[in-house]
Amino acid sequence: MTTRARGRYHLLMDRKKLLIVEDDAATRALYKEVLEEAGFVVDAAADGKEGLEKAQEGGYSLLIFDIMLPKMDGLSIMGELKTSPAKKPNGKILILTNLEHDTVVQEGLKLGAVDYIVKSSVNPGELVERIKGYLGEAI
Amino acid sequence: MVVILNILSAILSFILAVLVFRKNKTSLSNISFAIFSLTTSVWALAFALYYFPIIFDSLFWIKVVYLLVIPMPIAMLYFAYAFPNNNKPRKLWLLLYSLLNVPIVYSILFTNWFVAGIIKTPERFETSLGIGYLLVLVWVIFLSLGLFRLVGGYISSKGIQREQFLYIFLGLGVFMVTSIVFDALTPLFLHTSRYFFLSCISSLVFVGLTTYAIIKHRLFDIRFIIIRVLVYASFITFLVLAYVAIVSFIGIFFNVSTTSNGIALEVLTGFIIIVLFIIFQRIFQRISKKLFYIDRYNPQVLVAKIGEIIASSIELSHISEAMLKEFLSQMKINAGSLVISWEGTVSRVKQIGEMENPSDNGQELCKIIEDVIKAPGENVVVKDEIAESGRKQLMEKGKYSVILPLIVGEEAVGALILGSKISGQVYSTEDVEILKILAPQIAAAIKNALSYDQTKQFNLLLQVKIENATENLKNANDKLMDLDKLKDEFVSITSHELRTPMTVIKGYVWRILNDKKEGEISEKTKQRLQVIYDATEREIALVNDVLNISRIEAGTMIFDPKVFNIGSLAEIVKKELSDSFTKKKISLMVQKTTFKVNADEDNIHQVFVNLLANALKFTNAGGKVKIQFKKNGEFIETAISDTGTGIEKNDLPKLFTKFGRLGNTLSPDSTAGTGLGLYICKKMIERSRGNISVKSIFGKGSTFIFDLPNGS
Repeated sequence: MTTRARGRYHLLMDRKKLLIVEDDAATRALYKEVLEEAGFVVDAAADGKEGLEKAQEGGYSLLIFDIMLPKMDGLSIMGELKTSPAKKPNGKILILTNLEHDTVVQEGLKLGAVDYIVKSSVNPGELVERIKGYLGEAI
Repeated sequence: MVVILNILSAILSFILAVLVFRKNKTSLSNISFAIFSLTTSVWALAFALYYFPIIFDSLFWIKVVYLLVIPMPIAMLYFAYAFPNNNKPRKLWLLLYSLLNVPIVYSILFTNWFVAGIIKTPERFETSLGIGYLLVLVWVIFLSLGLFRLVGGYISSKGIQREQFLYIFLGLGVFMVTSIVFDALTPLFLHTSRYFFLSCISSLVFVGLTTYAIIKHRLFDIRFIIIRVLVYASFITFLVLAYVAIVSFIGIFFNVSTTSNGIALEVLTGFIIIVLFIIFQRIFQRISKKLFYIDRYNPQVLVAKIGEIIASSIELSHISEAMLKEFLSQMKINAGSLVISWEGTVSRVKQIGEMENPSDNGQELCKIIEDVIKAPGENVVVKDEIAESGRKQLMEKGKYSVILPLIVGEEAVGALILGSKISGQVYSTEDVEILKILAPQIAAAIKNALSYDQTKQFNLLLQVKIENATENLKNANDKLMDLDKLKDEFVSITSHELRTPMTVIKGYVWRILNDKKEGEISEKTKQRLQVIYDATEREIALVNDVLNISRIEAGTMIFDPKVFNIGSLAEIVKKELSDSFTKKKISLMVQKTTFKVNADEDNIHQVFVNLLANALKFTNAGGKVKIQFKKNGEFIETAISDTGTGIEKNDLPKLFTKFGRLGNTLSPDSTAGTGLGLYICKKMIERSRGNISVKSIFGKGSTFIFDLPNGS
């Protein structure tokens, strides 16, 4: 209930823009749906290259990257963003993956990701709550 | 002149007689030779007196000559039979000779029937003979018998003995034939004794050839003493010549006609001779040493040294080299080689100096060794002592002088091969005896060294085999590790791929369950969807567990220890699981704490999740779960207690094992676990150098306690 209320509130205000890069269509659709419902403007990309292009345009409050992606993996996107910064500044980066206890996850954190979430460990509601947490919004 | 030669012959034969007798007083051949030689000596002396009569007239002395000549064949026959193996001649012949000749001749010797008289002519003496003189023919027959016997000995003997026989036969032959012809037959048939002197000269030939055989061919084994005698004899001759020279020299220049002058001259010459003696003795010694004693060595020292070498090492190459060097330097040999035999062939271990390898691969050498095993008496093969044969050819070709087979028991070990002596001399009986004494010791030492070598070789082989096996194992291990890595990758990728659809299922089911916009769904459908949701959760948990175990066991799980507040982590986990706890109406209490631990936070997060999930599973609605912290020495203790079903005592030991699911403690909601959760907890805590344990009262609840290193 509260989620929806806050979503509407944000609709009135300057809504925050999120980028989600996720190759699995079903997952992408689900996350896009719940996050838009939560009041965010959600851009989605299906592969790393597209994700990087969108991220380089900039202006996102939160960049959500999967790690295993076609064409370019999440870590490479993060690396590219460091060498050639986005036109408009972006916010934090969150890793949303199904890898766990993996060196690549640690690498991602070293590259500046604020945290990582194992997709299978959260349900959509929990995901939204966590994302709001990173954006500094009260849960 | 003939007188001087006779005296010389007498002296030399006397010396020979004494030395041969002294060498071996019991050997029949030595005794018979000594008697013969002594008789010859006295005979020569008597002959000298025949030419230069003293006390008695020549007639008397010629009769003495015959007195001595008559028993000569007995001594010679004895010697011809006794040499070299001390055989006895047939008694019949001796008896025959003794009966036929000796008594008759002796009885008529001093009558006119044998030698009637001496006729002195200006040039020479002539004997006139009596009828009894014909008896010398018996003498001739028996001497011929002796010579015939020596020829037989020569034919049947071989090697060095053959050489000895040859010189004895030649010496005695010349001596006897000359005597027979000119002492017996010429006077008898040509009626003249003018050639008597030839037998005197021929006696010198006998002495000379015998001496040569002694020196060169080890006759009677009195080589060294004969050499010494020769050296001293030549030294004395030198001094005498010097004396004569000085006396005549001074006599020419000074008038020594008066007695006082003569005495002065004698004294002066004596003085000079003494000085000369002192000076030349040393020189003579040195020269003689160089010429004759070059082969001399102390056998005791050699035996001791070889013993020392044998005791000092067990290395085959070292023993062989040191031993060969010792033999070569002590016995003064130009070359030496040590070979070991193996199944009909030999292989050289060590060689010093020039020496050929046996051309037949050592077959003949092996045969020599085998022969010695069969007949243990003949254990040294000396080239000079063997007959012409393939064996001798082999030795000549290879420049081997001595082959000393090395045998232990009845087992062939090898052979010590020695070259010729640097001096060119033959190996003496002494040398051969020493080699015989040393052979068993050397054989035993070589055999030991060989065994040691074999052990060493075996060790080496073993080492190589172990290295190979290790290499194989390493390869296998590498392969296994590769496989393990592959498995890990497979598990990693598979679990990732499994998670994706499960995330989708979980997400959408959750959406349906939580989205009011979708329109009301029946309670029944809601319940069914919840079952799907729970099942998906379980599936995800299972995948997580399998993945974790695979990584823990492969050692590929990240370990990233850091210091963190254990209470804060517990709070985070509490928040994550709060929905589930609330739903089951179980209270979860976390004690506030400032304790910090040093551990892998991700791991401990997992441990909390696993333990709390267990507590949740096994606790009935309305139950309580508490997380409490305590400092315990260097560790921070975390206790998670529940008021659940508890665990039976029997089940406690298998609680933390892999797939250690408990038979009797089914959870109230019948949710089967994987049996991996607690195993993972244990492994993860142990990675952070901690421990986990459990206390439980069946029916009342359980407390899981884990400690982690204090981080503050």
